[in-house]
Amino acid sequence: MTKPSVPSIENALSDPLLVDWPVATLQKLGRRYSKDTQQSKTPKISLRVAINAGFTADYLAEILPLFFAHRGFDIEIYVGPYGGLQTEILDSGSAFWTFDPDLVVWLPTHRDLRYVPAIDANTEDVKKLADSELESWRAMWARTQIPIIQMTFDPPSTRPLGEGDGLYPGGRLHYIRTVNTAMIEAAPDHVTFIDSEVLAMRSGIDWFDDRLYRLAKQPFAMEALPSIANALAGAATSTLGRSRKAIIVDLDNTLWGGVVGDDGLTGIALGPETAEGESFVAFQKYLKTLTDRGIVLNVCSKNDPKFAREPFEQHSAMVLKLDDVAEFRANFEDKATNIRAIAEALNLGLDAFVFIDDSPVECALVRETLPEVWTIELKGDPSGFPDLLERAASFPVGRLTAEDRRRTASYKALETVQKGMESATDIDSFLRDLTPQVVIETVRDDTVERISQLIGKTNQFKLNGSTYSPVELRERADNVLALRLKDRLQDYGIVAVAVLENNQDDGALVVRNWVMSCRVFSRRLEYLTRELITEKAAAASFSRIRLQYVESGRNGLVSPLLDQLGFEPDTEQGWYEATLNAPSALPPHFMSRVQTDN
Amino acid sequence: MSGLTQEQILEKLTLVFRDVLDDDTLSLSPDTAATDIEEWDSLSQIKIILACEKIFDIRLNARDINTLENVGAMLDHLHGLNV
Repeated sequence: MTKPSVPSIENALSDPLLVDWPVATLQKLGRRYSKDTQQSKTPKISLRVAINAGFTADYLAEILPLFFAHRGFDIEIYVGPYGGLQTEILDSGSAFWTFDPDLVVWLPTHRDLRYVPAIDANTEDVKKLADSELESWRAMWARTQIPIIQMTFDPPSTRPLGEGDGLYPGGRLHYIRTVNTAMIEAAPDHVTFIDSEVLAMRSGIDWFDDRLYRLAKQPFAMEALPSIANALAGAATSTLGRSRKAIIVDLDNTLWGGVVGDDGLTGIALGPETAEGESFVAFQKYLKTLTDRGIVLNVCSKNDPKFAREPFEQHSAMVLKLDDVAEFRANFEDKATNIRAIAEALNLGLDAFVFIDDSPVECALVRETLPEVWTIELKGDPSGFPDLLERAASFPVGRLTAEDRRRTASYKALETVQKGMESATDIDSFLRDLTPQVVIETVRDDTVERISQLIGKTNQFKLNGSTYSPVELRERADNVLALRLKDRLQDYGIVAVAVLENNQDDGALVVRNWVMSCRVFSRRLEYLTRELITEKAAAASFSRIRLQYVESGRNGLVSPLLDQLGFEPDTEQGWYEATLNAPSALPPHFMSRVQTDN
Repeated sequence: MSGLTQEQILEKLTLVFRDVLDDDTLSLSPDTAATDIEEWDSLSQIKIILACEKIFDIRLNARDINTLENVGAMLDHLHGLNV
């Protein structure tokens, strides 16, 4: 018997489909990785994760560090005692609180439900029970503002009402579904759910392992653990604003069957006439749903640009149009170079991208040269392409904001703006011509999520790592400057936020954090923001403004900007100070101000 | 068809232990018990049993699993199943 060779950790971390690896391999790599996290060379964000489960979570905890590293986090895990989910949280002296987590994972199972409806219960009875079920959860959620990822109650392995169990009051599965729906509606903003029913469905029979539950108090087969770990790590990335934001697609044999340059417009397989053509239509529809929720779609194809665009413009079965594509690169340069150029044009880091291509050679090249990009090779029948992206959970969704949906349009406009800038000899007249308007927003129900998200997600224009939950932002509402930028091309949404501290004891107005989306770099919005901060300071009779700048390795562009905006290093390390007189040499921003009408 | 000998089973079992406990130097004898191997705890015990089920193509009852506390007991049980 030959000894199976174990792949390297680096191999595992660069495979978007890590979830498909054999669980025994994942367990081994997980342990090796936990012993020495230096085995991965890419820098990661440290995170303390506390897990409390209604089952023995030790096996899950074994592979979890690997799945978090896979998405850019280095985690330290605390696993609470089996069965101690609620008591640990409610006892403020427990090991859970001593651990001081940055992220909390709660994994109850249907065994943690307190009530069981009678078999002849009616809808009203079930609603009442579900409501009482929520009480203790409400208390738990209220104990902390730390982001919580919670699994919904899972379906049980037996169904007292048979096929009707999920459908009628009195059924167990029906009750579980009712409680889950009620929980999701009642949960505050800092709770993100993962859907156990879908995980169970995808794991099939592996979800239920009653023998393992009796032996080791783990109700799922080992084979179900990777999908749970993948869903948790995915939810964490979206909650913490570290999700990938853009996809780059190849064309031939990716969006349609065949090679448009050889087979011609009518020769490619696309449309309901053939099984293959129908699969490509379905895949395009899937990609379209991604763009609908703000994932930025880009094209990178080794093609004559003329042929490459033809299907988009003329083929009747094309779902994706040129309007759906932010960056369109069809040329004969290598794909790594093109992907770098796309990243630069969109002002996004390489770790924000997923690249899909049917060619093993192209995939290998990109994987090799740009390991930060998630490369997914489209293997096999095109009917399976959407599932490849689904299984990888490439673009996990937490709570979707209106801003997410608007982002695609915004990146497209950025492209127009940048192209305009390249050609305009006079930047001033170009900016003036855009007739920019800044709406000074307030912290409200429909803005607070976005404001919190923007602070969390921004990497480049950001003073320091401090983040603010929606609850905290509401408390500070009077001292939050949130700016929405509009111009004649489009509405960019809320793109800059400054959180201020207006405390007379400080002797100065303190800017706790200040972020600006990379979508509006070079628009001079920072000059206007400086004006607004100055006005706030003056209104509160301060003569100075102070802020703390902490280098993160990605926010280096802030440093020269602070100088330009008149901030000088203070005697205290990392702190900067400015007077109310903004430097006179600042270029004009041409922005008019509008107070929000809400 | 007769099953594997105790020696053949021990050889396969050693590979299972090395793989699950991630230690290529590990060697087993019928006398080896959980206390002799640091990594052999109750969590890895379950993984060893599951790996055995795969490699020998069997499925064990919880009652039997609880009696497999040392290598000798495993050998006897597997041999008895005529793997």
